[in-house]
Amino acid sequence: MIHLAGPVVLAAALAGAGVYGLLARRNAVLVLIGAELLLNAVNVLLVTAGTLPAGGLAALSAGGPARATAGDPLLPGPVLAIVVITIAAAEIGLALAVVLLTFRQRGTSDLTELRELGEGSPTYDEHPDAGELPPPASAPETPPGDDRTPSAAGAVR
Amino acid sequence: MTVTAAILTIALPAVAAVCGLLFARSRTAAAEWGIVGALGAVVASAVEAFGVATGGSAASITFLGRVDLGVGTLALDIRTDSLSSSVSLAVAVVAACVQIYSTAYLHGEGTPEAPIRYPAYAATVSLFTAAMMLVVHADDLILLLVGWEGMGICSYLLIGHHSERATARAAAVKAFLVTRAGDLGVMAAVVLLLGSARTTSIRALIAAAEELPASTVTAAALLMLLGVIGKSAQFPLHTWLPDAMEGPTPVSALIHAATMVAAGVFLVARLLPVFFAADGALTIAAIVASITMLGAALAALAQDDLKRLLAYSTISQVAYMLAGVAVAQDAGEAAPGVFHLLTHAGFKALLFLVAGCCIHLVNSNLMSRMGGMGRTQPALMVLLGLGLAALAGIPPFSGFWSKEAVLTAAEHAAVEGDGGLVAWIVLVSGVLTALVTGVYSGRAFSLVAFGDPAPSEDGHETEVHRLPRAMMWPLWVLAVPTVGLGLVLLSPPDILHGVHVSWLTAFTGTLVSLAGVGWSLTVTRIGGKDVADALPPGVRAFLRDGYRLDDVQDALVVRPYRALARLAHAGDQEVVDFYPRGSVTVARWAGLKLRRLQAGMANGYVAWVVLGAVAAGLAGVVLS
Repeated sequence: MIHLAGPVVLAAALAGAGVYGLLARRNAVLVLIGAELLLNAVNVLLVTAGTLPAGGLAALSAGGPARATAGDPLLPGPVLAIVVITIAAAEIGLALAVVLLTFRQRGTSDLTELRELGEGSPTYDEHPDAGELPPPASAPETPPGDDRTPSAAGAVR
Repeated sequence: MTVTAAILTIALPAVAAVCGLLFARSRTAAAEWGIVGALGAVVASAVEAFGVATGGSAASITFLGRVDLGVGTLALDIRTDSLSSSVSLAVAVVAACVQIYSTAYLHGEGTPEAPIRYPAYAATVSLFTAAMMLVVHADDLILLLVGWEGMGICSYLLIGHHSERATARAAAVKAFLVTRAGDLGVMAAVVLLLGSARTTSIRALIAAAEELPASTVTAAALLMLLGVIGKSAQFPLHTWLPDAMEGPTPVSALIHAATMVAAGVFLVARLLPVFFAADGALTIAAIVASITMLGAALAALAQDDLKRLLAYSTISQVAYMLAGVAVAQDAGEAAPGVFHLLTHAGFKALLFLVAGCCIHLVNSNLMSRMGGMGRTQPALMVLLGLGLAALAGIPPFSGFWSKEAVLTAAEHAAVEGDGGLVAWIVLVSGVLTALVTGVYSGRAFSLVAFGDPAPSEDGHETEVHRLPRAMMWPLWVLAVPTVGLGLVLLSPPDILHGVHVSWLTAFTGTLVSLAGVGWSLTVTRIGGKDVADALPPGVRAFLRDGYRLDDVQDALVVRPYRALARLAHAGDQEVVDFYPRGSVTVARWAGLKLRRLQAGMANGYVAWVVLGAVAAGLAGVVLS
């Protein structure tokens, strides 16, 4: 039996680190790791809350049984944590694929370099394809001027 | 047999209208449908009149069944009696003449800019005839209203037949709107009578007229009088009729002689017991008729356009009919007005068709262009003279008998009856009108038959040519009643039993008419050109423009209505549409501003999410 403060402090630390990663890091992979930390902070809280007796914190402070027994055979805490892990796995797989493709095409995973879609950004272009139309019959596989394309092997257009 | 004939008078023109429109592949076929329908109606009316004269009238013929409305049962029946059979015979004869005449008058296919559209024309004339027949035979106010409205729409279509001309379109709209203003009164009266008497059967209403509450009957009679004034073109709702001359001339003959304007007088004659039970309705009708007959006759005196002259004379003569009905001393005594309706149908149709021939010959409506036809078209001028003599009331033509009958009835009401002041007004106005009628009839004849035609503006001389036979035969047919309809008084049908002509009145009236005609005819002999030149130019222009009543109408009705329409339009555009347009503006402005928040920085977006989460958490802590 450990004190309740331990897991809660751990969760707070994980969440703080995750938010820091989300807000302050520029590398897309590190931002994703921040998101994972945030999710795992939630998992810790879920599992911890699942061990509380029926009635929750109020029952505990009222001097309930010393050993916390979860009255619910469905184990809501661990089950919800498993749900979160599943979603996190799917999310990280998709996000890493996006990061990988971005890196292959642009040669960078720095989020400050990938701002073209925001209207408020200095690199925003209202008609991104206007300069390419009409496409010449013998257009090269990669658009000219895109000198950041690395080795172009398997570049996705 | 009488019953079948009565139904056929309505059905044949209606069927001819539908078939002529749907099945006539050529112009000739359309003309044949129209003529066959009208001639069938003539035969049916003749049979009906014979049956009524010999076998008595059929008061109620089941026509369209019964409708249970809850407030009462509508018996959609028709009836045939002396009144309906004589009027329907007049309508059918005029309609047949018009149909035959039109085939020659509206010859050819026209130009692409001004197509003749003969099938639509013939079918509309047939439908017009059928609608009038329905009004004449209806024994139920609802049926009568159907025919009444049918005439309204047909007159709109026919007046605007040359819809490529802006003036024709304006005249059609004006005729429709002005008569519609009166029709609202008829509709309200029908609702009022239905609510009070629980029936719209004319027979039942006439029987119950005395028992109904006086206020209801008075209100209904006054409202109905409004419709009569509109349909029969009486002051102040007469302004549509002179403008309606934009329609083809045979249509004018139809509208003026037999159908449209006669319907109003017919309605009063049919519902005379109801009008009689109402206080003041007939008094108002008599005063309106007195004003109208003299005013319209004076306006006719100053016209330069032959058709407009005839239009004002129609207004004046219809006022005679209305006066003849309105001075009735007995609820059954509509005879003088109805008699004038019948004779007028004959001679006014003749006059309009003759005017159509003159217009056809010189290609202009102006009488100044028609001079000298006494030498070039003697037969036509004989017919014109017959028509104008009947119009002026020269014995022994038909108009003399009916006009003197009206004056006799007015004199009878003034001297012996309880007509009082109103009857005196009618009598004086009628005699003065007879004088003015004589003057303008003689003026029209002297201008058209004598003198020399003014050269046309384009210098093109009109060649003398023979009129087509289809245009001349109907004139001779119509000349028969014009000359001889007075003979019917030797053995009058039931409806004309109340016609009396007193010798003193007849003598006075004839003298006055002859004085008028003689004056205007001698003016040309002693060097004057036109008797209307005696009028001061300002007065003449004032009369020619119909007392500028169009301007009054414009100022009182048209302009306020336009202003109201503009106000409603502005309210819709500026007030109601302000809110949708405002929401668009706000959404567009907000979108433009909020788009700038998209900086493309993924971390920035997450910052918003975190901020939201913190705010939600704080809110949860604070509010819980």
